[in-house]
Amino acid sequence: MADSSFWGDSLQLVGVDGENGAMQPPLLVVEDDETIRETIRDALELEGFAVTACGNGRDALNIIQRTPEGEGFALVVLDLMLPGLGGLEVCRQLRQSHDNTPILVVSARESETDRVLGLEVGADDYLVKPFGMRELVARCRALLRRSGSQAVGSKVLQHANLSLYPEECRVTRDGLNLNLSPKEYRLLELFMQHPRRVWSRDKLLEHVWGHDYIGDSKTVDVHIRWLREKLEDNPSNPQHLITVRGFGYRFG
Amino acid sequence: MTEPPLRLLLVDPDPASAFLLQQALEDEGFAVSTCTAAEPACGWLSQSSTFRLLVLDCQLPDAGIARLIGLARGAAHPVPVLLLCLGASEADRVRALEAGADDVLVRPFGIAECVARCRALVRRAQLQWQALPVLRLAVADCELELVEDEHRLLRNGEDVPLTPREFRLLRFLMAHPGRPWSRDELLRRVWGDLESLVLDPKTVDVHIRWLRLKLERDPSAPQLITTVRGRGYRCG
Repeated sequence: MADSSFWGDSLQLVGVDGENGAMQPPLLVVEDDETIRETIRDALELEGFAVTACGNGRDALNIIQRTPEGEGFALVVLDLMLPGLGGLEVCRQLRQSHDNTPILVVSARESETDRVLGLEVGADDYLVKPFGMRELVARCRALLRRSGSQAVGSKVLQHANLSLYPEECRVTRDGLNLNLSPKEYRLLELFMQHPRRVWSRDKLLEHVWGHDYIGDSKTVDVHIRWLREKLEDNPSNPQHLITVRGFGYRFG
Repeated sequence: MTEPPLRLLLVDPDPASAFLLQQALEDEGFAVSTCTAAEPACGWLSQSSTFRLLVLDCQLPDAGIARLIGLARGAAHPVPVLLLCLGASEADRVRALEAGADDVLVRPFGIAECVARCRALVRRAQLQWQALPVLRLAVADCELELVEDEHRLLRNGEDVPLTPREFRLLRFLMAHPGRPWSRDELLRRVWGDLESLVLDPKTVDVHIRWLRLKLERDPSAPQLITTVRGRGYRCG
């Protein structure tokens, strides 16, 4: 199938896997101005996102609808003034077909009426051009966070007075570094990636120690106790690492 | 059926501006609770899980904002946060978003945009919540939500602590709404892991009674878990 003629010239696909091969949330950028499109793409790729870009609304709908279920885009950055099918119409059609992909509108239309209209048609956020790339990235991240995408590229996992920096394997409590063993760190990272989720001892063993670990699930309890001593104000009355009687542990 | 108004917590140290915003949001159909300091707002937020949105003004002390954002995001239903800033630069807005705010709106703003952003935040939060593996049961004025992954039960949005066995029993009944189960069937399906023990079917009755005490408005006239005479118990 002659994809190139079907999509037209404006479509440029970028490899979904970065050089490091890490799983990054795939984003779609829909913008007809090539300079702006490439600037946005560069900014987002620099942050580790896998970016697909296209230049008109028809292509955007085609790309989104042809993406297999479950591999959809984590977010769409959508310009409103597009040739042919406009951004508002794209937004409306997606929502009408019960596609809830998060949408961040970027538009030169700056009146309050336009902003309200965009949000009411189903956009999650509306950023007025011209905007700074740092704000665009921060808003993308905020939207990914609240739509439940685990943005692997995100720098910090935070909970109350604890911060975990995945790229640095570092955890701070009230801004002070904690000295964690590798297993303690991995346990905490798993917990903080899934706040409130309850983990059984077996699941924790499987995720942190691996399938081939031969040992007792009491190992988990011991590591939890050590973690509590480092994280909790009062380890015998834990506020972060909570025991869920009969099931296991949860964080937060 | 009219939707109940969305509850919103507004925290703004300036009473005059809080009052104006409260009026405007109430005109748009929100139910607004207003606070002028972070401390009482933290109390409200941790006591009630019926707030659907938190609107904060940037003039609150940083520690208060951080604490409120932490509470909102750790809440039973995570509560989205809209931060209102006076004349914030791009750097300020980025910092606010990175600190955990879901949206930042720069003062002065039009009330229509504020309302539209509030609605967009609530809409996204509800989509997220609905995507969780949750068993739901609504009878009369009571709604139960059982969150599998988190082993939690919410009754009208409030956490209800259950023992492991109560949780399993309720999960089993809620997974088969409307179908009655005999005591023996329940013993087999819910207490099956204790097969070495000989259990009295009265065990089931006792656990049902405990569940009713925790869940029913009037445990002597149960609405959620009903007795089907001659058959057993059923949910919904």
